[in-house]
Order: sequence, then C-alpha cells, then structure tokens
Amino acid sequence: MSVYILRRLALAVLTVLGISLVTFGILHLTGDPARLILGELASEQALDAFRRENGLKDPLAIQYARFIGRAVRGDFGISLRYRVPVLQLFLERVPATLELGGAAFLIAVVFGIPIGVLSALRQNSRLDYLVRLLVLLGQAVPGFYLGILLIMLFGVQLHWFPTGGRGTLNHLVLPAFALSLGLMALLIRFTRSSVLDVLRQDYIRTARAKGLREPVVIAGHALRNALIPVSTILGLQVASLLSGAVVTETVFSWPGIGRFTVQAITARDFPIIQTTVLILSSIIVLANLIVDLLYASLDPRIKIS
Amino acid sequence: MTTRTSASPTRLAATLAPPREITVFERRRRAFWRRPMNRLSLGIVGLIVLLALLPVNWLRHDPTLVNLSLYLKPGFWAGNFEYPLGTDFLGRDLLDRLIFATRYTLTITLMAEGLSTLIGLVLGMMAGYYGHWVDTVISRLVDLQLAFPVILLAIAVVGLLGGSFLNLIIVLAITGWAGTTRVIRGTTMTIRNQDFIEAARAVGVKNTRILFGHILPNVVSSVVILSTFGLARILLTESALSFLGLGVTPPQATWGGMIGDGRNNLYEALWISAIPGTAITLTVLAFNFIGDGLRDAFDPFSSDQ
Repeated sequence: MSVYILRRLALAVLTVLGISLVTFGILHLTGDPARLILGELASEQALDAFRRENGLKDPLAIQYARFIGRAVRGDFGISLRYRVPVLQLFLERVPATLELGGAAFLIAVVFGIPIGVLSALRQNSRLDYLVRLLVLLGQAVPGFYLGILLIMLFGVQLHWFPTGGRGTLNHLVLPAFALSLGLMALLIRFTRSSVLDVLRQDYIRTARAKGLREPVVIAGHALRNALIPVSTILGLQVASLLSGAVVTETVFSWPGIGRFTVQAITARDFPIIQTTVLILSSIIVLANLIVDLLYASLDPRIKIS
Repeated sequence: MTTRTSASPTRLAATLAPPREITVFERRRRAFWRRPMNRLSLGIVGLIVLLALLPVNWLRHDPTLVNLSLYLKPGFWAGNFEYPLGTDFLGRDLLDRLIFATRYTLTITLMAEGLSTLIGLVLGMMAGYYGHWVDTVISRLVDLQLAFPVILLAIAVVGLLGGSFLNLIIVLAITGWAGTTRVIRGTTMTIRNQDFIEAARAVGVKNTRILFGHILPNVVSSVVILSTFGLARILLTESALSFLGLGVTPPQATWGGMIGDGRNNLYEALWISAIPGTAITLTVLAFNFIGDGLRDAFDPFSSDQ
C-alpha cells in the first residue's frame, strides 16, 4: 500500500511539474515575453531594460528553475495591472469560487444520485424516459447559455433571485444551479447505469433468493456496490467543475477566480494567467490523487501492488 | 422489447423465411436507420453542413454589414419577414449571421476533432502495439493531459498567444486527444494478442504494415464513435471560449461568439443569444444521438440484433 501511495505521489509531482513546464513554455518559447508584456509599441531600450531586470537574458533552463523555485515559495510575481503580488489577489478570490463550486457539487450529488438510482429501479418507466431526456438535454446545453436563460427567467421575469453578484444565499442559487447541471446530468447517467449493472449480478439474485426484503437488497447490497464507481468520477469532475466555474462566474458576475482569470486575459496580465492555471491544475491533480487512494480503500477487490 | 411476440402474419413470415445474406455494413446501417431519433439527428447535421456550404453572396443581407437604423429589430414573431430572426445591436441580420457563423463553427469543430482524432489514434495504436517504454511515455502524457482543466489550458494558450482561427483549432485539438488515445490503446492491446497478428508477425510482416493494415481496420469503428462524441464536446468548448471573447476575431463569428454578442442586450433582445444558443444545443444533441446510435449499431451484443 505504501509503495502504491509513493508511486502515485511521484506521478502527481511529475504531472504538476509537466503543467508548470507548459505554463512556463507557452509564455517563453512561443514568443518574446518582454514584447508580450510591454506591448507592440515598446521601444528597443525599454525591452532591453525589462529583459535585464527580469532575468530574461539567462538560459531558459535557469529561468525555468527560477520560476519553479519562486513558485514553491509562493512567489508568483507581481500583477502587471494591480501592482500587488499575484498570490494575494488569488487568495482573496478563493473563498468565492469554493463557495460556488461547493454548492454546485452538493446540488449535483444531492439530486443526481437519488434521481439516478430511482431511474434505474424504475427502468423503462415514464419517469425513466423523462430523466433520460433531461440528461441528454443537460449535457447538450452550454452552461453559460443555461445561465443566461436562468437569469432571464428567474431574475428578470419572476424576480425570485438576483441576477448577479455575491452576497446572500439568494445570490448563490442561480449560479450554483447553472454550474451543477452538467455534473448532475453526468451523475444521473452514471449512477443509473451502475445500479442497473449491479442489479444483474449474481449476489443480488442470491440476496433475493435467500428471502431478503427488496429495500434491504437495494440499500444493503446493490447501492453500496453501485456507488463505488460513481465516487471515482466525482473526483475526476473537479476539473470540469473548475473549468465550468470560469464561464459561470463570468455570466453571473461572481467575484471568484474564474472571472478574475478572464479579466486578466482581457488586460493581458500574464503573471495572473500563469498563476491561476498552475494552481488550479495542481488542485485538480491533488483531487485525482485523493480519489485514486479513496477508491483503493473503498473497494477491497482492488489489489494494490 | 425484443421478446414481445407479434401476431402479424407478415412479420411471422419474415421470421420464418431463411435469413438473406447481408453485409456487416448493411446490418449496421439498418440498425442505425431503424431509430427515428438517429434519422432526425442525421437530418439536422446534414442541414447544418448545407448551411455552412452556402456561398456568402447567396445570403440576402451582408452578415457583417452594420446598419444602426436596424438596431435590435425583432423577427418573424413580430411580423418581420425581411429579417426573420431579427437583428442584433449593430443592425445585422441574425438569420444570415447564423448561417455565416455556421461555417466557422463547423470548420473549427471538424478540423479540431479531426486533428485530435488523428493524434489520439496514432498515439493510442503505438502505445497499445509497442508496449514497454513507448506505452509508459504515452500513458504518462495522457495522464498529464487529463489532469489539465480543458478550459484553463485553452484560456492560457489563447490568452497568451491571442485568438486566431489556427490557434483555436490547435488548442481544441489538444484538449481532446487524450481520451481517444486511452480507448484506442486498450482496443489495440486486445487485438495485438490475437492469432492473426501473431501469424502476420510470423511470416515477417513489418510493424508499420501490421499497425495500419491489420490493426487500423479493427479500431476504425471505435474511432468513428469516439469522434462523433468528440465533435459535440469540442463544439461546446469552442462556444464557451468564443463566448468569453477568446474565439475567432471579428468580423469572423461563431455561434458561441454570437451568444456573447447578445449579452449586453438580454433585456430588450434575448433572441440574439437565444437563437445561436438553440443552434448549439440542437447540434450537440444531434451529435450525441448519432454517437449513441452508431455505438448501438456497431455493438454485436446490441439488443436489436
């Protein structure tokens, strides 16, 4: 077990290093960072001074080592626009994104899994068809378009919820729902097929044959096994939830990391773009690692060598 | 539904008649064609392709012509048949703009998916066939890619390099290859261990010939199915990027960008965003239905066979 954990940890570190190489490389290998940062109109002298000041004349390997060295110490550079450390700006916006992402995750799990189970238990019923139709739609509607429709219906027409911004619980409802829909659709589909799969297994027949009542068979035998694969995709979906947050935050003017990143792109604030990509990717790698380890301890059939 | 016996004499005759020899392709085509939703989806995609091929000078209005006297005019629902889908904030005809944007949306989606499939197919076959260190390197690259949040990667690249037609295609292709590689790798591994590959190797057929002559034909069906779902996914990612303002540069346009155009006028003119939003949803639904249909048709254990 400990060898497995060490190997997965090493792989995670390697992945994060790879990601840092990509974020570093995009800025340094494909163009002249001094010109990218100072703009097309900067004079040769200004460019030269900037390069000397920021060590851009050193070999790339040294520059990369310096970038990593600073990042490990939490130094991600100074924002070009705000003139304060990027990490500080980033941390100020973390709670908002956590709140939105957490709420969306919760909504998706609380509704997605029971609906998926119900749909499987009533396979080919009218309810099942309706659920499957909604799942197909939920996976086809772009999240940001759904957000716009929600704002127009519940914000502008019905005045039930505010149309944007962060503050009360009411502000959270629409963006959290918009963000959760994709994950919810996926969860419903996955739970449904997983439960259907388990219900066909021999041990379910055995459980029924020995006279257990149906609720006991379902809750005690079927669901426990059916939900193991579901739990693994939950971890993998942290990535798409974070990606979705970028768009959802923009639509709902939610003051989190996603909107911050999009604004940084418009302002061509490169240190911010690099930092958010690096940190968020690392979070995703960490989430995947945790899920892998949890999976191994949830299902005793998975042998770890 | 297959077990239901029908008393219809013609159907009985059909079951009793000796089975006519039909090709595998013909059987799959029939299995696909049997479902009305598959036919409808194919029709929708066909219509969209036709619209994309329509020469621009056949359009009734210039889709890029700005005419502020036509600011936000509603369409046929208000009796306006000159501009059936209304006009946008620059007075541009939305029907013509939608058709105009179709060619960009579709070209980007197709080329990105084509590129991503090609990368995924070649890497997947190599990893599955050669094994050893080739497999290790490719599989680690896949892990790296899957840990990277798609939208963030795209944002990082487009944000740092600037949005252009080509950048967009490359970025979108990069977001999609890993899943294909993983599936093709697995399929190739099963095929590699079969007798006919062993036989080919025994008589001295070269590796490249085995890969492209013997293995490729056996993974084509998986590739077709995967890339149909891939089209849906890339279309959604492209529209999110364009919506954030990271898409093609105006006056070029894609559906996602059109939704973004309408954001400032949602209150007066929801149709500007709703029309391209519906187009995206319908197209993604169609791609997903076709993918499902193909999967069922290709599956030898499918219930209809």
